[in-house]
Amino acid sequence: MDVKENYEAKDLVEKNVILTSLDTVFNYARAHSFFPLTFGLACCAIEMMATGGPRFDLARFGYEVFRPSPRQADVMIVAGTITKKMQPLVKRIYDQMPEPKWVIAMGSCAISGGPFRDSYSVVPGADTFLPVDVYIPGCPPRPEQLIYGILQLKAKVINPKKAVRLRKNG
Amino acid sequence: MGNSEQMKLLVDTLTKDYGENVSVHETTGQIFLDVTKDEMLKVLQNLKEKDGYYFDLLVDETSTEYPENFVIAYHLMSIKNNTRVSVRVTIGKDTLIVPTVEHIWKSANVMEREIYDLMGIKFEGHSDLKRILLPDDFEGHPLRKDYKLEARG
Repeated sequence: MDVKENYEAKDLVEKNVILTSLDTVFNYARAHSFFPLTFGLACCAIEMMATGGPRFDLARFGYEVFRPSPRQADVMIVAGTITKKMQPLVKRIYDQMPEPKWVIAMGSCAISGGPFRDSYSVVPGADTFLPVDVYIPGCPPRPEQLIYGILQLKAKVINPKKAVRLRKNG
Repeated sequence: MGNSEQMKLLVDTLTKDYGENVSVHETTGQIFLDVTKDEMLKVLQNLKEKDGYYFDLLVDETSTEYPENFVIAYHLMSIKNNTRVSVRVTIGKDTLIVPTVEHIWKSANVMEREIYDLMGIKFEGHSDLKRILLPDDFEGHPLRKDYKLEARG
């Protein structure tokens, strides 16, 4: 039977079959269900907890399942000041996360060291040793800002070619 | 500190007991004893064990850098008598070593490690003198006046 000749079958094919790459489908699914890591370093973590709670309700977007193990998480929200003593541990947790994985630098400390940048004990920004995808400014950022940042990451994951990946190393 | 009468009494007894080797001051409701490095262990031991004093709690141990010297301060409190006293020991910049008081107050262990970590003063006889706040491979002692911060990158 010639499918093209059969009007009914042609209609069905046009309306129900989408041709795309497998990556696009996977990324679409990944972007709609991030699994952030339960991980906080300072006061930004309090705002992150508020974001996950009922008032700001990160669950609306499907990102509320904070995983307690890095092996089950794919988004690391660096929420707080990274001290030089903590840096190797943050790096180890990041290394333990399975690919694909993303990093959000939340707050001015994770972006650049913030008010502690000149200190002898603070790392000047998470991007000195992690590939950061989204920067969220604020001290600390409000939960709405964190939600907006995660939604930016979602847009980035769905359109990887449109987003410019700023990587200092890696 | 308790009432002023009790404090006057304490200053008098301290002056009577240590008058020769130790100078006793009283300013703004605090009593300070200035002790030499050689005398300090004897005086501190005595302040803890003697009945009239009984300073059983080492509230804090601190260090300060001055242009000419370092000063270690032992802030003591007697829970029994509700009295406080601070003992100051001046050490020269050439030999930054003081005897430990860990065997008198066990809480001195971590306080002396903190002073060693941030100021670089060594405590003779300390059981485990290593860095406590900074990473083990940290170079220098950041609360010293001569510590240089790195330039902004």
